[in-house]
Amino acid sequence: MRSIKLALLNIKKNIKNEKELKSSFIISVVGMMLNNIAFLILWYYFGKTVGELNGWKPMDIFGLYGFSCTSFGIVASLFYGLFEIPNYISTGNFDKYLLTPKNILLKVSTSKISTSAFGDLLFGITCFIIFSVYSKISLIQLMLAIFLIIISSIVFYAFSLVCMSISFYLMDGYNVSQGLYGMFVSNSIYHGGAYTGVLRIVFTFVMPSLLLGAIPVEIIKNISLKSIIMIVLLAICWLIFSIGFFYKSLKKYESNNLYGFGG
Amino acid sequence: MNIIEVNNLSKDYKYKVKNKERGFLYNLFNEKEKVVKAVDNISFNVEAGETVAFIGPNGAGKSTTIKMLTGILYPTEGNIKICGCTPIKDRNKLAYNIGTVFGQRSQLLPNLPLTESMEMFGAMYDVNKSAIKNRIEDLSKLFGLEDFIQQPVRKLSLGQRMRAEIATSLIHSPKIIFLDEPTIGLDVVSKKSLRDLLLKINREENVTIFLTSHDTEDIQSICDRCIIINHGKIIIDTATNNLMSEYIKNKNIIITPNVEFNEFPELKEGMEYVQKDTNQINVSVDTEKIDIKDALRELIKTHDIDDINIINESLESIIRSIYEKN
Repeated sequence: MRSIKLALLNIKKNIKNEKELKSSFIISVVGMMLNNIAFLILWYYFGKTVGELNGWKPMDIFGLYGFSCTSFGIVASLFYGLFEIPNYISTGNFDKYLLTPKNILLKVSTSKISTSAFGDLLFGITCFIIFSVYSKISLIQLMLAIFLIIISSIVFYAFSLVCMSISFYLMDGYNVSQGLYGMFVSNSIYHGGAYTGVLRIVFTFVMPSLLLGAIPVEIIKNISLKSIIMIVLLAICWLIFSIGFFYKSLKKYESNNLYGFGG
Repeated sequence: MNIIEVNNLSKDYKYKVKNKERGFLYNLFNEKEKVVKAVDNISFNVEAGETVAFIGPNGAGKSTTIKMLTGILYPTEGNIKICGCTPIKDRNKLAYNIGTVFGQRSQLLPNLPLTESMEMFGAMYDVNKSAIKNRIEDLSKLFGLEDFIQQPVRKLSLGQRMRAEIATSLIHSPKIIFLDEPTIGLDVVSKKSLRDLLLKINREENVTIFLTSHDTEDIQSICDRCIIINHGKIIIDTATNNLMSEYIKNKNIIITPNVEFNEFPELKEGMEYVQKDTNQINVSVDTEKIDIKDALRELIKTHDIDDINIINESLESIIRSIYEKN
């Protein structure tokens, strides 16, 4: 409980810390929203040109971006320290999280926030509103969507943690982690209709990119208890696995001397 | 009472070695591991309130040792007890008893006033709000932080920042403080003020100081005891004063002439010119080879002298000669 209280305080201080640089904060947020709009337009026109693809309509792309960007925004804006793990390892800066009390993972995760991720978050929410209005979703669907955003955020956090924890094992951990993470994120914002057969199985169970956006959109469109149970169970499994993997990997940590104690 | 107990501590590092005579594919599947002993079976104890310098040349193993003492690295062999805790097992408990300062790393929030970082650290160590406030006031007075405590940390000078870092690391009143190069990059005035502050917290709060530094002035002015490590082994563990008296091998005799020196006669064994100017000569005397009185007599006999100064070897050159010897 005290660790959670500390994590909240950490997030509060980090937001305060970033807000001090107001102009850079605003530029990051607006810049990221513009960047996302470009991608959305591209996919929307792709959808319009191709038409309906495996049950996916052009407007569903808004839903996909709504779920993916919101869950990314929540995780990266509040827990950006997670994505800094490879960097902390290579510079030896991870030491300081081992030297202070409370839960290491929570401390590391909340050690930094990403201002541009607030842009993703705002963009995601906007996309989601557009999707909800055009798709005329009911109150139950809306409640379910909010629940699914939490689930996809958990999946996002968990798989990102697995990617970043790989850095504990490899000398060139930063590039491997970033490569894997990049693949995970990219596949979460591609047209949902493109994932069928083996591809769908791989990106659902092996690399859970589809749990971030595509599957939640499909659940909202056709509510199915089986799919909801599956996504919740997968999120729980990924979370448990990722935390276990992080602590197991931590034992491999060999503090780098780059900025260390000297000799 | 021992606050640090280290027994038969060792740490091995493994790295892969490639066979240069074989190709890529062979090495991909047949890499051999080489083991380096970074710390080799060391033992020492530190009593509460001691001020200890843990020094050694680069690559000696001091960094690895300190990281094992603070719970960052797992030892390969041996036992460590810090305030009764085994660092790697009781990391959380240990954290409440120790403070750490990394000379080249900051733990403060750069864009916010120092008070914000101190409050956050206080909360991390479960210090209640009113106690944090009182502690900040006390530390602020002790470290002279009043003038800049409300400034954003990134706007502080390096000297101010180091004072801020140390004050923050003391927010939870730790029993031991581990300092890594605390005076690195500071000017002479800031160095002196920081050393005085460290001595003050040692005397007033009985905080044990465990310090690593390449600056001999830090060692001489702060630490009562000196542990020198090289190639992973402790080579000397003695009081800093003993280091000065026991290991001084050289003295320097500086002489100024009545009239300018034009000749520099050959010196006896154990004596060597360090400086040969017409208005000053500096002779280094190896006291193991020649008695200082004999060296002085020799110089008086061969030179027309107006003034003489005899200077002890500096701690820096004593330490350098110890490193070189080992």
